[in-house]
Amino acid sequence: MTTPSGGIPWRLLRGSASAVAGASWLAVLILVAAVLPVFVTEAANHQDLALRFEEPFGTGHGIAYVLGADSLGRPMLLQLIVGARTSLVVAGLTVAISALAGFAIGVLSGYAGGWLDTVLMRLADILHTVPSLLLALAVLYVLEPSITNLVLVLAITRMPVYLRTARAQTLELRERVFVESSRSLGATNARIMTRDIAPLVAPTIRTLAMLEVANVILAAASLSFLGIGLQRPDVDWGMMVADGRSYLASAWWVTVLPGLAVLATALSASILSNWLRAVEDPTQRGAFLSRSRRPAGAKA
Amino acid sequence: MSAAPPALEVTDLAVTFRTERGDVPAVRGISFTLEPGESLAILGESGSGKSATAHSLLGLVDPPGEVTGSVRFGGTELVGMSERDLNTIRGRELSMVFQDSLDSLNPVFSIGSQLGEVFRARAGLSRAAAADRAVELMAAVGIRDPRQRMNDYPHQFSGGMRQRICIAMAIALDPNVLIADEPTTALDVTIQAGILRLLRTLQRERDMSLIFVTHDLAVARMVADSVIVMRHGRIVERGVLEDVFRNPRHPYTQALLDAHPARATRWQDLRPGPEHPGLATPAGVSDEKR
Repeated sequence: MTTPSGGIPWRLLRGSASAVAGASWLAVLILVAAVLPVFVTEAANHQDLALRFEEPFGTGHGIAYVLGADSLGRPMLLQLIVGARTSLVVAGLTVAISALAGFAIGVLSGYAGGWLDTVLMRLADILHTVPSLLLALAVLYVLEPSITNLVLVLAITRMPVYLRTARAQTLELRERVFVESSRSLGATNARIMTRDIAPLVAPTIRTLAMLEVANVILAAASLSFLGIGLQRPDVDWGMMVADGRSYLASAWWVTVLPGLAVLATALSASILSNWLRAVEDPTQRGAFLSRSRRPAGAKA
Repeated sequence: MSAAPPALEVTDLAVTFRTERGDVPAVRGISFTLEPGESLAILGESGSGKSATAHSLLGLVDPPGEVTGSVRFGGTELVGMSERDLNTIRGRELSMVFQDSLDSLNPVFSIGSQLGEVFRARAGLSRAAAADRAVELMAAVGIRDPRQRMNDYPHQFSGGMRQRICIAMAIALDPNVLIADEPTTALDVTIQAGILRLLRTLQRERDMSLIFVTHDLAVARMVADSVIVMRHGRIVERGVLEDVFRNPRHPYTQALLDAHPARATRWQDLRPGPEHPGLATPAGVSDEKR
């Protein structure tokens, strides 16, 4: 996303403990998801029925089993690491594609108005009324259930949210005086959309996108659960939650651990995005500056 | 007046808003000319069509509003011109300052980048050259320490300062005609005087024509040479400002003049005109016919 205020001063980050926590969790997660799966995928899919439902936090079976094992005796820790990559890739790509497309179409639709707006909004209505799961089911049944198709289907079904939000905000913004002022100075429509409207809509879309990360992880999980999402040996967190749900009473960790991973990721994403929004807003930034210590001689 | 062709020639200009409940005429066929270097005040109460007139000159009236008649600028007809052609004229030939100075700057970009953008987008200047011009302009409209304040955001400026910046943006490309739509209405009186003086100075220095839309007689008196009094979308009186002040011919102008605090000491002294006929009156009924 663009940062209209020209870069985020990193020292501001230290002022907010929750933002630090969120950022670190995401950073560690991305690092782990990028590096580790290459080394542990084989071990992660290794089934050892003797260790079926091995309890977590035991030390007897090496570091791989420190978080216990699932119904087929696969080590939870390694499954979580491999799942992190898939979950992040699917959620990241889906959210990025749907948010960017919805953002662009929404701003265009709201700014242009007229028949273009009508056509685009009716298409969005159609997308909204068709149950997204049903659509995904149909598409993935016809096409091969691969990560690419999964991402595309989810991205399309998730798009209307961004589209509507971006459009609604554009409708309001285009009536603002600074837009009229730009017009009076001879700014083209493209310039007004990219320079006057988009930078003000972007923070909302980004916050929405961060909130959607969790939804997409779970939507991908429900598809896996229905058997048309990912297929073993591919694994993601949602699939792990779905796998473990029948053993919830006897082996809680099989469901709860990947669930916690989803929760922590979604929470971090939304805290970070909220913080970014506040810091980026030139009128709110002062509050952050005064809370963290200001260097001597800084302008009031 | 000199023999030079008028800067702006408006003939039978009408602005109509088409609504579900019928057409609302905001401006009902007005004609006037603006000489080069002239400062013209358009005076009228709210709803008299003065703002709609100002917007229509720059082609800023959006549907459901509809503009008819003719606005000729140096031989070019502006009414009905394509948006693309209008964009070559806006800012460079005709420019506008708006009423709501608090909202007429984009809140998320620094002043320097917004001013600079005008030069980069319209004059094709480099980033550095545009920044230099922006500093010059800020100094020209009376902002102290322009180089330091370049990186400040709109909310860090007071209302009066923001209006000065808006004026700077409007005159950035050296327009021939500057239209100011109640630029001082949102400001308090002491700040107003500064802005009006600035507009007057800039107009003389840069040899611009100025159209100044206002409801405030005192303000009109400070900036304008001549005046048009509008009511219900029509011009009811026009002339050299001081003549109109000394010898108002139309009863409405008389009533406006009487509304001055120095003349009206009790509210009973005020003579409010009837409310705007709006949709209740069939189009075409004007004051003269009542």
